[in-house]
Amino acid sequence: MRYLRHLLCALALGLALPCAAAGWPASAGGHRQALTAEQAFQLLPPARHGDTVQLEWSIAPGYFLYRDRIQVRADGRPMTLVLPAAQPYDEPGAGMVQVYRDDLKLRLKAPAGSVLQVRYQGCSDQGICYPPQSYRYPLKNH
Amino acid sequence: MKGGVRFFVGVVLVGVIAGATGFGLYWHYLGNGRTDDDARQMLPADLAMTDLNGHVHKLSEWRGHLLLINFWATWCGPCKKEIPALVQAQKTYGARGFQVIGPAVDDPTAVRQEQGLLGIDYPVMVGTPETMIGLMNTLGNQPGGLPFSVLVSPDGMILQRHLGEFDPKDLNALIQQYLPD
Repeated sequence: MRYLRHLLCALALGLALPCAAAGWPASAGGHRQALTAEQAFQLLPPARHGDTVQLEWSIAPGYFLYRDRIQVRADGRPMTLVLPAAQPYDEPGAGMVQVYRDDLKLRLKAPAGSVLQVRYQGCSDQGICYPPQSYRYPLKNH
Repeated sequence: MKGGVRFFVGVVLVGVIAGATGFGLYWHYLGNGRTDDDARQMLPADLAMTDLNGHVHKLSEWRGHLLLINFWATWCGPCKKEIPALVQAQKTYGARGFQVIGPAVDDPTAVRQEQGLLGIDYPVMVGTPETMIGLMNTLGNQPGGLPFSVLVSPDGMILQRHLGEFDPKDLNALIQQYLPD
């Protein structure tokens, strides 16, 4: 039994070597893989505080969301948003735009029982852009 | 003791052989700078797209051409920035069998307007994000971003995939690498 354990350890160590080799080019600064939109712009589930709903995005480093492409609808009706100040960015091919990086919090009044539809769009500093993302959140009744 | 040392040597030997075998397999299939992305595959024969007039085109329609499929959108700044280089490449190499097609992840009205502004004179296709993202995924664009280009040989083999904007010099070098004399 002890010999078998040793043999299995040796095999595991032997198999670990090619796994390390496979990961080495990436960790040594090889081509950086682009994230998916879901990975780059993580929208957390809405947090409710009474009649106020807070939306929060976690934006990956090197990625940004466009301020003017954030839209929220409640039961199909567009909501007026009070968006925080954004950063100016001279985007190649698009000119000066206003963007959010790192994180974005947005508070809005939404009645209980309504369905929120949140739409947003962003790109990466590497020049990769993503189609508009859209999520539906049914807000529970109190 | 001698038996123990012999066994230890045997265990180390098994580990080294297993490691060498695994590493060798890795290097043969994925080493030398190649990645899964560079592995050759045929363009799926039944892939089809719709043009601005609603006509469906199978990509096999362009067999015999060195084909560059360039996914773009009117809302994509980097896409619009690289299109002039693609238009020029079509003019320069079209007579030698090079063909660009430009599927847009976009609304047909917006695409028609932008097509004129950008001077796009190669075939433009159009589709909803859901349709086009699925198509791009099939062609190897897992992140789903734009611009995304796929270079296909005249006999339908995917030669290269490129996510992001083309540098015009790199684009020309790539085309000349695969274009027959």
